[in-house]
Amino acid sequence: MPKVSQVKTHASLQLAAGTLVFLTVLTAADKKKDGPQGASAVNQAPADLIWPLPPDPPRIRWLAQYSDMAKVKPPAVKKTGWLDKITGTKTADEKFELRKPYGIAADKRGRIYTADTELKFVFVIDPVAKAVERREGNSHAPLSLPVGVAVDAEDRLFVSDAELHSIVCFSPSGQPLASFGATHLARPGGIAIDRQRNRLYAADAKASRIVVFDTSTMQFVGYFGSPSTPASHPGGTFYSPTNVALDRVGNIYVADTWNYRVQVLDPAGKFIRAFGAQGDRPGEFIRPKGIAVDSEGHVYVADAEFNNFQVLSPEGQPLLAVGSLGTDPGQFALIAGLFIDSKDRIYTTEMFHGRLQVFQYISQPDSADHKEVKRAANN
Amino acid sequence: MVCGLNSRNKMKEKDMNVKFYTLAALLGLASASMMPGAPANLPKTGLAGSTHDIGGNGCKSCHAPHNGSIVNGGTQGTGLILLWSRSFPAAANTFGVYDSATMQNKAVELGGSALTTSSDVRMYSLLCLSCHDGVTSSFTPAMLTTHMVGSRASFGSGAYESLGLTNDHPVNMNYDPTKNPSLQAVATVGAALPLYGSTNTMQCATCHDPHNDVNTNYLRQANNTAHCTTCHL
Repeated sequence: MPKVSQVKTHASLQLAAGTLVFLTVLTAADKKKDGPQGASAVNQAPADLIWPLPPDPPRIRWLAQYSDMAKVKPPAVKKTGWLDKITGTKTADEKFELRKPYGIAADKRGRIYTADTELKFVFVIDPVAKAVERREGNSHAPLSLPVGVAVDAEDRLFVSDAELHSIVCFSPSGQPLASFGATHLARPGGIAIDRQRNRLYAADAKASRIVVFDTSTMQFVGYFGSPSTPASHPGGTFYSPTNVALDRVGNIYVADTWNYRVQVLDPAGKFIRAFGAQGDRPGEFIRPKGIAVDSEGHVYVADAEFNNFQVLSPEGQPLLAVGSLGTDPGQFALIAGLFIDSKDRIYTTEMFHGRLQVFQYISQPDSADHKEVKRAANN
Repeated sequence: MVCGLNSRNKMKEKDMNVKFYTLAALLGLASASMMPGAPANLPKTGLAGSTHDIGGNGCKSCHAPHNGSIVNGGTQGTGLILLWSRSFPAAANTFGVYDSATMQNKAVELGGSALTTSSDVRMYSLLCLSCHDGVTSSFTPAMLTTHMVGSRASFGSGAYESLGLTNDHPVNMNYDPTKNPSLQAVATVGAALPLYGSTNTMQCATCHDPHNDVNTNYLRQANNTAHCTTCHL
C-alpha cells in the first residue's frame, strides 16, 4: 500500500504572489546580434536561432531559457525605504536558481516541471503567470534525489527519487500525496506516464529494467525487460536504462544508456526495435540520457557527451543534431533531461550550470521525408 | 584476476599481476576483501574488471573511438548522414568527444564557445560528471554510492566556479598558493598529483585516477593524511 500523507505542508510555496518573481533569462525576441552557432554561421543576425541553417528548411527553433529565476526580475516593491536601498531589497529565495536539474516535463497549461537533484525539490515554472513554485517532499513522502518528473491527465505530478528508489505523487495543488514503489525500484531515473492506460513507466538504472505502475492505484503492475550482459544484449534487455518516453500511440522509447542504443517496446512491453550504437557519428550515442518523441514520431535523444540532442526518424535514421558544448543559447553543458509537450515544444535540462532551454519543432509538411516519417509513426 | 587493459596480452597481464600483488602487499590490502568470491568492487590495478570497465567495454565507454570512416558525410545507405541538415559540413559530422591530455583540438571539434577555449580544462571533469549524475551508473554499489550530487561549492572563482561537491572537495578550481599561503608550491603538488591547464586547475583527476582502483575509490594516493598534505600545509 502506498503511504498516504495527511499532513499539510508548505510544499507548494507560492513565492510573492502577484509579482514577477523572475522570468525568462532570455527569449528569442531578446537575442543579441552576435548569437551563437546558427546565427553567426550565416554572418547575419536572424531574428531567431534555427536548425538546420538555410538553405535547408528550418526544423527546430530556439524559444527561451531559464536559469537564475531569482535575480533576473526581482518583485516590484512599491515603497523603497532607505534601509532597502542600503541592504538591497530582498528579492526571492536564492533556491530559485536552478542547480542540477535532471528530469523535465510540462503540463497541458504549459507549466514546466524540473527536478533539481541538488536542491532536492521540483521547480514548477509558469511562463504565463510568471510565477515559480516548488514541490518538496515531507516526512511521509520524502525526496532525497529527485530525478524524473511526469504529469498525469489530472495534473498530478509524479517524481522519481533515485536514492530512495521510490515515486512521490503530488496533488495538482502541490501536496505530497503518497510515496510508492520502493520495493520494486532500485535506482529509478526518468519516468513517463501513459495517460490513456493510466500507466507510469520508470527506467530503473540499477536493476536494468522498466518498472510499470498504475497511476490511479499507485500499485505495481510489472517489469518490462531484463538486464543484459556484456556477452548477451538482445532486444528487450537493458544495461542501465536512464530515461523513458512515449509516442502518441503509447509505444515506449527507452534510452538504454550503457548499451548505447534506443529500444522501442509496445504498450505490453514487447520488444519492437532498437537502434543506435556506440560511436560519434550521427545516429550513434555515447552517453544517451533524455529521450522524447514529437507529435510526428521523431525521436529526440540527449547525449551528455556530445552535449547535443539528435533528432531521428522512428527507425533511428539520424535527421538533425542540435547543439554543442557551451553556454550560449542552443548549446549545452551536461545535457540530461528531455521532454516534448503536446505543442511540440522541446524542453532540455543541463546539470553543469543549471539551465533549462525550450525549443520548438517546426513541421515541414511539404518535405520529402515528412510522409515517410508519418507513415512509419502510424504503423 | 584480470589486470591490465588487454587481458589477452599474457605478458602484460603477468607483469600487471606482479605489480598488483606487490602493491597489494605494500598497502596491506591482503585482507578478507581479497578472498575469492568477494564482491566485485575490489581494489584493481588497471581498468579491466574495475567499475569503470563498463560492460567489459574497456576504454570505449569514455574514450569513444571514431566508429568507422566518414567520407564526405557518408551516404544515405549507411544511415549516417543527417537528412534534415544536408548542408551540415561533413567535417562536423563527427560530434567529437574523444579526449586526451593533448586536447588542443577540442574547441574546433566542438564548435567553440565561451566554455571551450583550446586550453579549457573544464572538459576533464565534465567527462566524469557525464556519468556521475546520480542515475547513470554501472551495477556495482561502489559506483552507485559515489554519485556526485553535492551542493554548490563554496569556493572556486570566476568563470571556473565549480558547481556541486560542497560535501566533497571542490573541483575545477585554480590551484594558486599565492592566494593561499597554506598551500604547497605548485611544483611540490605536481610531483605527486596532476594539476591541469595553464592555471593549474584541480580536476576530479587530480586526486582520482579513473584507470586505476588500487587505492579504492580510484584515489591516486591512499585515503590518509599524507594525501591531504600533498596540497595543504
